[in-house]
Amino acid sequence: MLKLLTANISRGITLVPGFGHLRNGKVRSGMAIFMLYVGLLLTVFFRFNSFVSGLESFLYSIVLLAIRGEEPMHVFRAAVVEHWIASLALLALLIVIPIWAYSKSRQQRTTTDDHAVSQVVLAWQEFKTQRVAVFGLLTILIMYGIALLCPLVAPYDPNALQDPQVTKFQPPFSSVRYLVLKEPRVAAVISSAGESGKGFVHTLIRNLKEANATLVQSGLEHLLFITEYHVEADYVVATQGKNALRIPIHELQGEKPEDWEGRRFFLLGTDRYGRDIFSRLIYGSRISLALGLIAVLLAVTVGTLVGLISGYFGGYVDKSLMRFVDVLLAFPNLFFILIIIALFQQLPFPRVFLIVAVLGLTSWMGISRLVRGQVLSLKEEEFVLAAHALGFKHKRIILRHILPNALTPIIVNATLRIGGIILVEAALSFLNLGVEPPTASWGNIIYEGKDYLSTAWWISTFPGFAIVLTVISFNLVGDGLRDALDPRIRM
Amino acid sequence: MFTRYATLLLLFSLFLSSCGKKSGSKSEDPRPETAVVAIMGDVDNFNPVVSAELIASQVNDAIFPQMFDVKFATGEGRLVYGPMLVKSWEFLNGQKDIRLDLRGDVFWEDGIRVTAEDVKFSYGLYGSQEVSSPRQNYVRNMIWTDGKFDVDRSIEIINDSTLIFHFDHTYPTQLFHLNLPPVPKHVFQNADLRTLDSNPANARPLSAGPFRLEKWIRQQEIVLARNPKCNLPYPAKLKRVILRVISEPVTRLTELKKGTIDMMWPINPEDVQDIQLNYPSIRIETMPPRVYEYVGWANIDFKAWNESGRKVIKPHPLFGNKRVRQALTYGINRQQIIDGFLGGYGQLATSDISPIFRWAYNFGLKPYSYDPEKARNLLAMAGWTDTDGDGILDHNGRKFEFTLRYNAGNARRAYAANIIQDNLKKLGIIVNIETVEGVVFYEKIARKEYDAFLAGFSVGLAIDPSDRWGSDIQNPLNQAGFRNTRVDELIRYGQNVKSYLEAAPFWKELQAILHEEQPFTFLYWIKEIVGINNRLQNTEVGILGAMNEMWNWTIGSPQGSVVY
Amino acid sequence: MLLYILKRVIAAIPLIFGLLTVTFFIIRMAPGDPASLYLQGNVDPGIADRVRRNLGLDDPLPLQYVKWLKATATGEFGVSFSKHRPVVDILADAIPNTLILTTLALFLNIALGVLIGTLSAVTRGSWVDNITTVLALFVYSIPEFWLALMLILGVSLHLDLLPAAQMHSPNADQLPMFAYIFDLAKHLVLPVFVLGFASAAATGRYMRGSLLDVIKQDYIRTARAKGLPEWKVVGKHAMRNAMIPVITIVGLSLPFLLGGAVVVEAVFDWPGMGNVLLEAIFSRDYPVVIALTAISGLMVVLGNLLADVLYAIVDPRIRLE
Repeated sequence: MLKLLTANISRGITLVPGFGHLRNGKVRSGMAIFMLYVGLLLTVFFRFNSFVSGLESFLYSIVLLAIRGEEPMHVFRAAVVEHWIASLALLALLIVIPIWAYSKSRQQRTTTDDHAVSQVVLAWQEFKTQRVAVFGLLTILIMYGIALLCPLVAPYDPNALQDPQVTKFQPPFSSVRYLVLKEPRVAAVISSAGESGKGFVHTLIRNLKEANATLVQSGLEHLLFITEYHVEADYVVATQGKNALRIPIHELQGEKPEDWEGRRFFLLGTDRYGRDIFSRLIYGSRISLALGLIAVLLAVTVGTLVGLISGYFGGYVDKSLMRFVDVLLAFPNLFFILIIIALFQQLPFPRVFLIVAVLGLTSWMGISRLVRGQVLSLKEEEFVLAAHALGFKHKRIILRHILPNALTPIIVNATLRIGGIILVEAALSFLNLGVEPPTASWGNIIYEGKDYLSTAWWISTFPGFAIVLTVISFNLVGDGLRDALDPRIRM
Repeated sequence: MFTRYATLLLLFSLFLSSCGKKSGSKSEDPRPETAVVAIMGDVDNFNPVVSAELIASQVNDAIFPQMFDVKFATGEGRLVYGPMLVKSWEFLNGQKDIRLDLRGDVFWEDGIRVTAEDVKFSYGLYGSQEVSSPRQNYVRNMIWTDGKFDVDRSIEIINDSTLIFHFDHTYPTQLFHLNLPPVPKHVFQNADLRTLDSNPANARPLSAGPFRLEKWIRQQEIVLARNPKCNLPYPAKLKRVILRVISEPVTRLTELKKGTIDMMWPINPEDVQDIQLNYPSIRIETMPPRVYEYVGWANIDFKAWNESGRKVIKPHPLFGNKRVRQALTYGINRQQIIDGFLGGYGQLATSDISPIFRWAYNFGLKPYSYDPEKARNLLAMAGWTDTDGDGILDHNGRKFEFTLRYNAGNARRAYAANIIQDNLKKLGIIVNIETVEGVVFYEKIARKEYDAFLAGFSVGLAIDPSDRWGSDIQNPLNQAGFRNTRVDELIRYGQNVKSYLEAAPFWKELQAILHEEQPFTFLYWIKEIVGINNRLQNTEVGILGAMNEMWNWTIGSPQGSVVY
Repeated sequence: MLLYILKRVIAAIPLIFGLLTVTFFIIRMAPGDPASLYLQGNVDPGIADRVRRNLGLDDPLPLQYVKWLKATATGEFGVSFSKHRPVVDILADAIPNTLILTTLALFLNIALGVLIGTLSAVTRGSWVDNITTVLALFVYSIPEFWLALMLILGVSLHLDLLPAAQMHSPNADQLPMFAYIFDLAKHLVLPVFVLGFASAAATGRYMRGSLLDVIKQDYIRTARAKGLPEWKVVGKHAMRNAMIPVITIVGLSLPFLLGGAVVVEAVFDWPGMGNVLLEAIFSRDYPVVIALTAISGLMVVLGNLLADVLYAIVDPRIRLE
């Protein structure tokens, strides 16, 4: 009886993500999964309102769209959409991780010794032995996770500014006092939508309005940042730097000082607008990381395609393609990037896309040469020759036989490249050709802070660390992958 | 192998020597009788006729002979003219002509005398179509024949040192237009006018002023040396003034703090406190407000205007309504921008006539306050409310959303743009910010392709609102597409008086109209901050610039870098 | 060998031609008008049109292209729009300044890189190797301009050891010869350090890999078996062969010599090619931009050639065809 109970409990425990791994003796990965899940749960707990509002907003919008068609297109505002993404992603992670962890831990128990392991599994096992590389991979995963969930993870709105003369240039670990007002400082925009009508659609619009309002609020509407204050009869006398304010107590929230006063904490300090650096760093990671990834994907796609075609078909195709690559390679890289971005920055779309495109399209040539070389040697391998003999189509031979075998150097090369691209983005920001403010990217946070390096070092320093950490991580993972994937290096 | 050791050795020895040198260097002035000024960009050339950069004209003032001794009388708020190359002058023919008597004892560096011929020849260059001088508008009111500046009818030479200028009408700033420095005729008389801007003589100017150009290393430094033969007014008191090109602001400020440069501007208001606290050897001075910044609104529909071949004129769908423009000004917390960025170095602007012109400035106008409620009411009156519940104002199916552009790299405008975006968001207006690189930015403004832009302007020392506020929409300086018949009248009146004071009521009314119409949202006047090492003395930082009358500069007791 | 070089040079001609053509059209198709410099302030708008005509910007694009090609073929790069002087003169001013900076940086890069690489290869797997590897990676990951700014504030402002900007001190021209050079050297330290240090990290990793490959070879084992001391094995036999790939870096760094210092030049206000390029781009100074691209492209082509030739010289096993 007791035994049965413990067995049940222990089976039940494996449902907690990570515990299954722990039970199987995989302490490190078990702990990692568990911590990750706790982190997600904490995010839900602390940002429950945003999380639910995000899901609500998404749901209402979809329904409205289904009912009314094009009309409510205005709900697709960037600020709202990023909340949808974050809420949906969080929901998905909350569901997927336990299932995956559970099935994985089951699998671990059933197949204790595996004879027929695939190349991928082998490489992964090899990769796992390199601790630094695993550490790098974990760092990257966490960073991308944060970037995906940024509206929920960032403590404050990255662009909201209020009373900059009080909040600006706060050093790390500092906090600023505020008073809470009864009425918002600037009344919300009065809207007549959905008010008059009754019925399902109007209720929906009202609900959507409410949900969206929760999402886009900066949380500063009722706050008045001050340096100091004291009570004088029915008034609160506050100072904002050199200015003095007199506010009647009845305009403040509540009755007692505890009700109306508070402090806002800035982990990494604030910039010259009084914006929270930590929040900006989190939002900035989204741009910097996505930019690196997408640019590299672009480069890899183009480079692989050209390399495959060139190497596989040979002859004139090869010659002309490689001559083209030669011309492009003759362009001095940074010069070229600078010229194109500077000259074409006024296109009618945000500059981020231009930067991604230029960085991606100027770095595929190396990959195409690499792939071509691989293809040339693979072409002579027996299994490819056999495929030819069997009369397979080119497409099938390329996709099934050649590409998978040429993939190793591509992956390694791509990983190593991402770090470089993040560095170039930062350099572009320094030359004022980076992502446009006020959108935060690591590069432009550094740029905005550089003039204040001697008076407010924290603005430029933390994004600098973030870049260093990311680039190091990508390089560690790249090295690790190379060692894991290249059987020649295995010693 | 060798190189490795050599490099290491070099590095090491440098390290040692620079450490060792520190103690001994304090006592002796490393730059005797020399002042070093940091400038942001290089001078384009040393020919006042064709140089387009502001810095070049300031340097040229110290090299070329000045016609008048121009000072700005702060109390009256106007320029006053004293004799310089022009010994005396007389108005003739009901003020339509001016006779100038030149000094006979002023010589170019090569010993040739500066004569009336030089002046006439130079004005011929300034007004020439082929040369395309950026200062061509100085001769705008002299005599023109067939659409060309007629130098022979405009300038009459009586003798070597006397000449008469003819104008087509009388106006208050005639002397201002006679203050262009002459260039030596004997150097340029055979020059090809079309390529005057790349004439090699522009790189080695013949001086007649207190300084001569000793050396010009492009992109690095300009070395001005005392011109010992100068008597206009006298040779510079310093042996050398070196202008160093340092464009990166962080680097520039570092050099000032270290004491390796003696003067720089602009200094960030944010850095002032740090300098005053930690660097007692540096003094902070400010220039009077001559530069203002504004948000330009498209008063007319620029898109329709451009697409119709510059014909169709109709109000802009967003900013065409006066109430909307007023609401925007009410809705922008301009004081917040000043407090947040400029500190004590800015003041609210009501129009584009600077408060330095005390006689013309309309002190009766009260700047718009920050009043979001009033803004919202005005917008509602103009038909802008939120009808679909997305928190954004709309009107006839159009959202109140626009792109505000400014030139990349301008931290102050970046700051203002961020505040404006935040302020207007609270009113339900979406502002997208876009930074545009300088060249393209000004070009597109001039072509009227931007509906809203954040720009600045340095006002001239003679009041001339005709380009900016005259009803000619074709004029690139009429950036708002502003049209107002009363303003046209006022400009005409103001430019046809004999004495400047008579124009005052017209300019005051003009300001009132601009204040009411808000073709721009005038943000603030800026007092530029100059940092000067105390070793440099007798500087005259004022409305005429930081390098004004630098021939009077002297070096006081040497003050090295900071002592911790 | 000579024949090979000749063949490569001839092959490079259409390459450079393609490069020039692409550059020309990219720049001319970009928005922005060089004459708009004249549109600021109280300037008669008609002037901009005249300036445009003077600059030859009124012609149709193909005609401009032909004109320009003809001029370029004769080595004539034209006159700068914004500086009003021959492009050749501008480049002649800037190139030596950049070269002095980048050549020294390249030396530092290779010297330091070989040192680090050898150290970590010899001590492979030990804590010395781990620390150098991580440190090298760290240095490589620091954004260049960020390091430069930090050095300016730290070394130049707070420690007051070295100057922060430009090549010379004011009045340096009045110093005696030796002091003048010394002054220049002081200005060189920070930019050279920033430029050379990060790339030394990369070179070091390269060197490490190369040396590890070599150490596995039979002849090293033989040398060890002969009883040679370890430092001699590594220093004499292994190093010589491991240096081969490193040497090719010299060739491939040729374009770096002219164009690799844009950011560093901008921070330290070094009057070189990078600053010329930035200024030219921002003022739409077409002739300067094109000339710079052309020259740097030439450098890339020559650099590749040099790398191949160097490779053949140091490694007799490689035959050029």
